[in-house]
Amino acid sequence: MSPAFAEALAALPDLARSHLLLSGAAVGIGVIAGLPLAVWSARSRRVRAPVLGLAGLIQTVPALALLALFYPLLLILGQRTGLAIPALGFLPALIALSLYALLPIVRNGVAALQGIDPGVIEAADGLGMTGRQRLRMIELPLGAPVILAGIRTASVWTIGAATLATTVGQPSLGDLIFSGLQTENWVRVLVGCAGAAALALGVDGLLALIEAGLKRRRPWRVRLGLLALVAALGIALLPSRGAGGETVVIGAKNFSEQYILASAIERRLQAAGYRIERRDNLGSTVAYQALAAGDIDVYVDYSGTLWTNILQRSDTPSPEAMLATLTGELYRRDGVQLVGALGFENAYALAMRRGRAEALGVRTLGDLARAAPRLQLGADLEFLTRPEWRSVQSRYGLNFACQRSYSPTFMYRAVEGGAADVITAFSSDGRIAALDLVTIADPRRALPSYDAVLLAAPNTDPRIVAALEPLVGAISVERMRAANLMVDRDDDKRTPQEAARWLDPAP
Amino acid sequence: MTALSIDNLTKRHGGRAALDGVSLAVEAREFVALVGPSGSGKTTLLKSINRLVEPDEGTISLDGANVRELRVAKLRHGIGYVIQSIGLFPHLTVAENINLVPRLTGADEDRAAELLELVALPPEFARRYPRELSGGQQQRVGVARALAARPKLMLMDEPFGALDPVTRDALGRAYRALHDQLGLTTIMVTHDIAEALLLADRIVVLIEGRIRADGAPAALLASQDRDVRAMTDVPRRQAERLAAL
Repeated sequence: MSPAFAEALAALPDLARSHLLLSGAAVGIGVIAGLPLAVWSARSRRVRAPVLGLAGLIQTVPALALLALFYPLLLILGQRTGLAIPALGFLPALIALSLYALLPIVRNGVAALQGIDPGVIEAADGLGMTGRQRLRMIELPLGAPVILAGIRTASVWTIGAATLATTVGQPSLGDLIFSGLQTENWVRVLVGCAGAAALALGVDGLLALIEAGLKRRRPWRVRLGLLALVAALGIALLPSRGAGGETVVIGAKNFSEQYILASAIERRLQAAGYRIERRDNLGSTVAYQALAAGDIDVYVDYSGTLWTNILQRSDTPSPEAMLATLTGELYRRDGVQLVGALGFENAYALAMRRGRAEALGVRTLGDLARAAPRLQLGADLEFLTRPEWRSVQSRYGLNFACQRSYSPTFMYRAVEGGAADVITAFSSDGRIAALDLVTIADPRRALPSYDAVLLAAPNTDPRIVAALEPLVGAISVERMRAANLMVDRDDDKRTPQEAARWLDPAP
Repeated sequence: MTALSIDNLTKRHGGRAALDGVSLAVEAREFVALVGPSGSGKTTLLKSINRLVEPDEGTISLDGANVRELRVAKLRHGIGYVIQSIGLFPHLTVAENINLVPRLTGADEDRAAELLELVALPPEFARRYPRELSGGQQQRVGVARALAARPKLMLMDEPFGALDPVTRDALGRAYRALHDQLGLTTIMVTHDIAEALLLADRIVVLIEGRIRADGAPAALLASQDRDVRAMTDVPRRQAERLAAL
């Protein structure tokens, strides 16, 4: 069995359990909130239109965006109320998925209740049933198959959408899919997809059993289905293997280097006896805010990113001055500790294929500005909205014929295949050398330095910081590039864990 | 003894009056048929009695008590209600359907066997589901269910309207026999004038929300009112044409 497959399989049980718990809780809330809404909507036309409209509206918001929206909302809510509301992880994922589950449950609920023979309803009323008796004894039993079909739809949707919970820091089978996509580890992607599909099919099958039992009035089928569902949730609720010890939550953004460094941190902390939770695939600003809020304990960021995004500065001082200011300012602002620089830089650098750059005579960004109106820029997902891009544009007057955003992996594919002439590469990326790209010089210092720095949350246990101190200044840019390439290349591809072991063999 | 007394009942739907000052007194053990064209207000009048419809004006008294002062559920438990669409609960067995009202009132007695016998259905029907029964059998169960809590008053809204003519006639006569046997007071809405003439002791003709005629079948047949005559002429002519065949 390949290491990638073995690693993906080893991660599967815990991720599947957390995936199932999240989906189960979301559908549960969807049912608890959705059924009364459905009853109310079926009884009153004035309620029905806005409720169905709102639920439909929520459904049109892409699930990814809906999940991302609850992070800032909960953050603001926590700040306003002064309560310790976790803005990352289970809570935002649960709220978003519950809302997502609402539509099929409400819509089928309304259809179920309205679809009941009016003669039956008239008879129930005429015999002297109260509204509640009619609901309990007549409407719910008769509507049950249709209501359950709605719950089935909601379950399948929710289990699918729960893979996206990864992006707000909630472990799910999406962890395998997202990290696999970023590192082109298709085995990981497939294991994640297959796991989510198997969960969806399994739950759907059990609900189908219950539905058929209700429709044909076979109580044992209903009981069997319910029992199996409860058992599955019970297994998901069991404490995970290797419990015990204090838990440290490690964050990572969504590219190979971040996974490798998070794995290196994980190895160091495991060696020190800590239990680890990972929150991979966080957005750039989400990661910092999550750290400041204490939702994650440690992660690696880059000085220039913190400088422009968090401190909102546009000047470009020397790397040493920038580090010193960051250390003081981040602590003063948010209590965040800058443990130290790891020893390498991962700067934004515009890069081209060597032959193309030579043919156009491009060596500096000034040269590039002349050629740019005929060239296509391929950027990563955030560069075009970052202050660095405005800085480069204003200092060199860069204007490209066309600009496209890609996820990092596909950005390199684009320059390799010629779909993009210039890309926003990362200076520590192993693919620069592997694809024979050249980075374009920035003589006017439009781009700040991007030293990789280890950040720790406010009030992090000094022993955790001490366990990570050996990583400070220990990673050269050459070694980081080599480790990145191990993960990103197509031949003899390694997993981030393997690369981390190579990068920092000590623990 | 007056079992039911309706006084000056008015019900408006939008601008139109469905009932326009209707007054009616029904004696205990009387079998009253409410007839009239569609939209004449007969169903509205019937449903006002068990408060499925709340009138705008007027009062209804049942055994001397104003129905508006009774709890709705309690009022309806004491009145049998049979409708054209039958409305048996498809997820309950025949026995469960029949025993439903006793269950609601807490009496919790199993009268299924006794009532099935009363409506001339075999006892093994108790365990069957409504969909396994023919339309006529279903409505017999509907009548049994309405009788389960031993009501004195039966309200029937086109009870046999959806049945084929043979079943309809048989069921009508069977019910009339039950009415006499159990000493019931029955108010039946029908637009089959022949059925009304043959089953009821008294026929009340409603037209445009008002009582146009009220009397025994023979009196009604003798009525000179143009609209009433138009109604009674239909079965009379049919009978003449049948006799001439």
